[in-house]
Amino acid sequence: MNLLEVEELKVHFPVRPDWRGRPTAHVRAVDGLNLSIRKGETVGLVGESGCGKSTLGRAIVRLETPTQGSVRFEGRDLATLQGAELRRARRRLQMVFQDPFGSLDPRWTIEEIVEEGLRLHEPTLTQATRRERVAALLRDVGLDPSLAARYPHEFSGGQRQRIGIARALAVEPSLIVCDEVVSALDVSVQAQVVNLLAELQRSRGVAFLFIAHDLAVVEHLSERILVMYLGRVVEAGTARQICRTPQHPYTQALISAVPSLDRNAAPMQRIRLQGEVPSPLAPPTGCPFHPRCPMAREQCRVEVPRLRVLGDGREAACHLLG
Amino acid sequence: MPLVEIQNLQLDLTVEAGRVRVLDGVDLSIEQGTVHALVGESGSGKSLTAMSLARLLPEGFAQRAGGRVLVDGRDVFALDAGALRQVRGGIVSYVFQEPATALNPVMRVGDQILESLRLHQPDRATRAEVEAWLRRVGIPAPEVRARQYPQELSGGMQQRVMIAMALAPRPRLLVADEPTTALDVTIQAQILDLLMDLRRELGMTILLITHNLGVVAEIADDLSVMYAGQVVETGPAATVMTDPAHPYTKALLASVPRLGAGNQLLATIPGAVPPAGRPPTGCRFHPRCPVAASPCGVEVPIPRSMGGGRVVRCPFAVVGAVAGKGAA
Ligand SMILES: Nc1ncnc2c1ncn2[C@@H]1O[C@H](COP(=O)(O)OP(=O)(O)OP(=O)(O)O)[C@@H](O)[C@H]1O
Ligand SMILES: Nc1ncnc2c1ncn2[C@@H]1O[C@H](COP(=O)(O)OP(=O)(O)OP(=O)(O)O)[C@@H](O)[C@H]1O
Ligand code: SF4
Ligand SMILES: [Mg+2]
Ligand SMILES: [Mg+2]
Repeated sequence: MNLLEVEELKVHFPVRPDWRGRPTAHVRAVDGLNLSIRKGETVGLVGESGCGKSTLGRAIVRLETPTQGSVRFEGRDLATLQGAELRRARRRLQMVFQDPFGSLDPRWTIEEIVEEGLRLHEPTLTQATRRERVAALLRDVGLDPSLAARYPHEFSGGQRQRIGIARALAVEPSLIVCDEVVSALDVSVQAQVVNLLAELQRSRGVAFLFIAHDLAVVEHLSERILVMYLGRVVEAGTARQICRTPQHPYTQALISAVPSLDRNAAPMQRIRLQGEVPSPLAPPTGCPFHPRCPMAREQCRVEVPRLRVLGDGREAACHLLG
Repeated sequence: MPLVEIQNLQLDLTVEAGRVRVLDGVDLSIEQGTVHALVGESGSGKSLTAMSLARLLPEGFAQRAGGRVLVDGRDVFALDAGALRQVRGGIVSYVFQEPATALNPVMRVGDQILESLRLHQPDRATRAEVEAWLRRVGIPAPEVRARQYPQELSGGMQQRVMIAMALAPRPRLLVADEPTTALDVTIQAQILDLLMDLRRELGMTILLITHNLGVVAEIADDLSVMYAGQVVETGPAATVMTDPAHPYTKALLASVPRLGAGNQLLATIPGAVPPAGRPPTGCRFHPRCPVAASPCGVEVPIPRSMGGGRVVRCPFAVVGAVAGKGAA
C-alpha cells in the first residue's frame, strides 16, 4: 500500500464574482492529477510559477478542499475522517513552508513553537519529557538547544527554516510536504538545509513531497520527480530520467533553460520557449503546452494527451510519446 | 581605461544603531564592453556597491568614508547635481529585481519609457521610438502594450519593459541587479538572451549582480566575489569558476547543487555571514575558513595580484593548484 495516493485531484478556485457575489470564472489550479508516494520515499515536484504546486501540497494536507478526486493517506480518504481520527492523520502529515518569517509566531519562543504539536497530540507528556523531546529535536536539526528560550526574530533565515522543520518532526509524521523551503536561502545556507533534509530522510524514514522550482536542488533530494504544467503532470519518472534524459518537450525546455555551472560540460541542445505560461483561468485547448511547444502539430491543438507509461517506466503526456 | 573603476571604497550607513561601515575597501574595475558579474551572499554589499556608481543612495543615509568611484573617468562623488543627472541614465542605467515595484503602477508603460527618453534623449522622445524599443525587447504588439499599465503585464513582460526603459537613453553601462531572480527559468533564459543580444547590438557594458553562479558561467566575462563588504576575488569568470583561488570562492562554488550530479551531499560552509558593520578581526572569512591559519585572525589581508587578471584577498591563495577540477 502506498503512503499517499492522490487520484484525479482537481482544485478549482472560484474568481471574479458578479454583482450577486457568484463566481464568473474558475482558476483550474490543479486539474486532474494523480500522484503516489511510498513510505520513506522523496518525490520532487517542479514546474513554473502558478502551475499549481503549492495548491497540490495544500490540498494534500487539507488546507485546501478538493473540488473533485481523492487524497488517500495511510489507506484512508482524509475527507471521510472526523474527530480523533482526523487529528491523528493530520499529525502524521506535516507541511513546511517557504517563508520562515511568516510561518513562525513571533510572540512564541522556539521551545513553545516546537512543542505545540506535542501538547496537542500527546497531552499526557510531562513538561520535563516535553523539554527533553524539544531539545533532542533541536539537536537533530542542527540547532543549539540552549537557544530554546529565544524568539524567531533572533534567528537567521536558515535557522528559522530549521525551526520549521523541527516543529514538523516533533509529532513524528510519516510524510512532510516541503513547499519551497530552501528557495529564499543563500546557496551556502541552502546547502546546509538540503543536507539536513537528506540526513532526515535516511535516519528517520520520513517520506517527503519536495516542492521547488530549482531543478538541481530537487534532483539532489528526490528519488522520483513530477513535472507539472498548468495543473497537470506532464512527465514523471526517476530523478535520473527526468534530469538527464527528459522526454516531454516541456521538461526538455525546462532542463535546457537551467544555466549550467560547468562550461565544459557538453551543453544539452538549448531549447528556447517562446511566449509565457498561459493563464489557468483560460487554459489552452488540447495539450496545455501546445501554444509554446516547438513540436506541436494539429492533433495537439484539439486532443488532450493522456499520461502514458513509456518503455523505460516513466510517464509522459504528449502525443509524440508512448 | 576601464569604464568603471572603484578604488578602496568605504561606505557608511546611518541606521538605528548608529553609523555602520557596510563597504570596507571595495575595489572593482569594469572593462568597456564586458559583462562583469558580481556575486556574494545576501548582505555582502553588492547592491550598495552598484548604487554607488551613480550615487543613488540618499546623502543623509549613506556617506562615503573613503576611496573613489570613477565612471568614464569622472569622479562620481565630486560631481555637482547637473553632472550627476547626466551620469544617471545617460551613462549608467539600472534594472532591478522586482519590476513590479520599480515601475509606476498608475502610468502606462509606454509613457514611462517616453519619460525616460525625454530626460536623456529629448530629440528621440517619440511614440515611434517607444514602440521600437518595446519591439526590440521582444514585446509583441507594442502599440497595444504601450497603452497598458504594469499590472496588466506578466513578470517577464514587466522586466522587458524595465529593460527598455533603462536602455532607451542609450547608457554606456547597464547595472542589472538580480534581473531574473523573480522569474521562472524559461523566462530567465529569454531575458538573458535578450540582454546578450542588446549588448552586442549596442556595444554596452553590463554589471550583472546575481546569486546564480550558473548564470555567471553562461554569460559573464569577468567575475568579482564579495564577502562582508569587500571584494575577495576578481578575475576572468571562466578561470575563477574552474580554478577559484580564495577559500570563500571555493566554498561557494562547492555548495551549489549541480543539475545531473545525482544526490550526493553538498559541501557546506560552517557558520553564517557576519552582521553588517560588525565583521570579525583579521580576514573577515577566517571564522568559517577551512584553511585559516594563525595570522588570519589578526592580519587584514590586502588584495594581491596573481597574474592573468586575478586579484585575491588572501595571503595563502594559489592559482593553478587544482587546474581542471571544475571540468571534472
Ligand atoms: N485562493 C486562491 N484563489 C484564487 N486563485 C488561486 C488561489 N490560490 C492559488 N490560486 C491560483 O492558482 C494557480 C496555482 O497557484 P499555486 O500557488 O498553486 O502555484 P505554484 O505552482 O505554487 O506557484 P509558485 O511557484 O509561484 O509558488 C495560480 O494561478 C494562482 O494564482
Ligand atoms: N536600507 C538599509 N538599511 C539598513 N541597512 C541596510 C540597508 N541597505 C543595506 N543595508 C545593509 O548593508 C549591507 C549590504 O547591503 P546590500 O543591499 O548591498 O547587500 P546585497 O549584497 O545586495 O544583498 P542581497 O543579495 O540580499 O541583495 C547589508 O548587511 C544590509 O543589512
Ligand atoms: S502533445 Fe503536442 S503540444 Fe503537447 S507537448 Fe507533445 S508535441 Fe508538444
Ligand atoms: Mg508555490
Ligand atoms: Mg542586493
